[in-house]
Amino acid sequence: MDTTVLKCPGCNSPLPYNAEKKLWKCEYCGSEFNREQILELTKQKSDTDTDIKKPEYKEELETPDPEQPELNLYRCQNCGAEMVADQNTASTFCVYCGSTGILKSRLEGKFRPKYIIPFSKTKEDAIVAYNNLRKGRFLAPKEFGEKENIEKITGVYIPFWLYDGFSQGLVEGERHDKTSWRSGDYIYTKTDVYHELRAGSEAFEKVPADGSEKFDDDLMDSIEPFKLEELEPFNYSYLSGFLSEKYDVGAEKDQERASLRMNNSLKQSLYSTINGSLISPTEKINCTIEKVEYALLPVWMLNTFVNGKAHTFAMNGQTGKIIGDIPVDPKKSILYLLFLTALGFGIGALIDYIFF
Amino acid sequence: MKKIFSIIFLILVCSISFAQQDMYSIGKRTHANPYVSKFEATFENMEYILSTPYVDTAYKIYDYANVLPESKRREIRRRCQEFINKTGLGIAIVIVNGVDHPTFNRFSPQETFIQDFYAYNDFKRDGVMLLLNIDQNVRNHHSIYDAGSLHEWDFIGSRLEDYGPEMKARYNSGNYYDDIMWFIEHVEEDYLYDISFPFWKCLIFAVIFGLIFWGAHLSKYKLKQIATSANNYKKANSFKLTQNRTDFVKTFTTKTYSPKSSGSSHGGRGSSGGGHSGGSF
Repeated sequence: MDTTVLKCPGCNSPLPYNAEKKLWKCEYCGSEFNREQILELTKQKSDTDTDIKKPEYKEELETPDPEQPELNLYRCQNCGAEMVADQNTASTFCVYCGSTGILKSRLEGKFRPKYIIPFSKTKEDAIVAYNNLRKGRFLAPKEFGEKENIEKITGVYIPFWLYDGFSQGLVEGERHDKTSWRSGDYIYTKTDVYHELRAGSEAFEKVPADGSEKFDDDLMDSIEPFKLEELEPFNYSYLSGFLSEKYDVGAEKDQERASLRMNNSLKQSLYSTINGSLISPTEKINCTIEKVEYALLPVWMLNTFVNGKAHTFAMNGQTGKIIGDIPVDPKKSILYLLFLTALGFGIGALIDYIFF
Repeated sequence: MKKIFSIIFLILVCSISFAQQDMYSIGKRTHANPYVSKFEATFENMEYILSTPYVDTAYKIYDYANVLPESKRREIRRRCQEFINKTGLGIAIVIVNGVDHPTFNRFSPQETFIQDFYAYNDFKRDGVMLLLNIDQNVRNHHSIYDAGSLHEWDFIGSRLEDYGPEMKARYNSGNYYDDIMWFIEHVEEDYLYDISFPFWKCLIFAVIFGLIFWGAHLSKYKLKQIATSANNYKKANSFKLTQNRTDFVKTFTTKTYSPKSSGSSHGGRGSSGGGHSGGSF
């Protein structure tokens, strides 16, 4: 099967999306194209482009191990070289010419996203954010945060399900209101017991849940929030210059996570109306999902090697929020604990000297 | 005739001198009866034991150089007893004019002597000893020894920088009595400060303090966290409270005995083991 490459109409070179300028810029002739121009260009191309409709060949690589992912061969439309991609890849890079091969068939039918948020942050922004992670974290190994240890940095459009729905339900339980006073050698405590009941509902819009097994849910949750008001109708052109994936976790499976989040938010709203905390409360909350939409959201993935160990970081390609578990140097960590203990001893001795 | 008088005079001087040395002694150590109680006499330490005078610990001040009048010695003895009563430690002050004692390892004869003198006599296990050597040919005129738990805390070792220059300056003034009294005064003061110091309380505080701040700092390294709420995706003004009830159920009062005044306790230190050490300057 062939791929589609977004090409500059002037020089026929690959035309990647420039996140900084928010337009498409040819790296060879310098021509720049805005959204409207690109939409027009891709419309003309799809009218004449028959490659997608008539694939030349698709060859499945031999996969003797059933646990190994299915790999497919594709032909780069720019240089004709063969490209390998697993069954969920929707756009990838040609290792020979570097151009982005968009596997349109992977984003057709039920796999066609409704929305996309284009990248706003560049590769350089991701490197700076990674370097800044070191600030205030002096227990990180010396090698951490250094540009040289970044093994791979890739802009990826990750499939997300966006859920619209509402939660409704109630919380109830006893609240104890306590007042204490001293009389002689006794402390008296008066407890007023109340029964509290709060019921209500709350609606939510576009609660995201990543639809890819490949990416760690915790990592994808942690880079939220996305500014979903910047969602744009999906267009293949945005994929130029980036990798992209199609979903492999269905909307029904992810719905549970989204519902749980909505229910928890309603609980927080209900509890916020109670002056105090409830003892052994009863909670009855249900969630109704009204609409599910499929979107591709931008993420910079950084793979680093520190002391021979791989660490993965993800940066929200729209807001620049970077997340990942930062390694800790065990020696530095123990020394820091000892230093704090010695400092604590000194403070304790000083308190004893001043006050006792 | 003149020679006879001279010989008689010499014999008298020597007798007085020996009598002075012997007045502290309560027995002569032999291989069969080395008079040691805190340590076991072995083949290895026998030479040191036999070279160490066996003295009555009640004297506390042992002026082998005969440089202090009896009144001053009595005053020092009284002060030593006061020190013992206050601190519960043992103390010995020895003044010599040169030391003839076998050496041990890296220690000089003077340092070995002070260790052995305290160790092989019946002084308290935990204690201090000051040795003044008025021999003009030696470089160090003072040695201090701390025994038992004091040595384990490095009591003297940690104060050598304070004691050393002060005692050296005092020695040069030639007032041995003031020198000794200054030493007793400072050891007493420092020891009483040390034992009143709430070591264990401070240590527990330090460990808790260290763990809290360490844990708080380490939490900055774990940035991944699963999303548990959808607060960022709430529809504006969509929260509707359909029921909002607060019903009074009951009231009750409890009382707890809690006396106003409460005692306080001070932390202390245990003692264990024993050892030889010396500080000389």
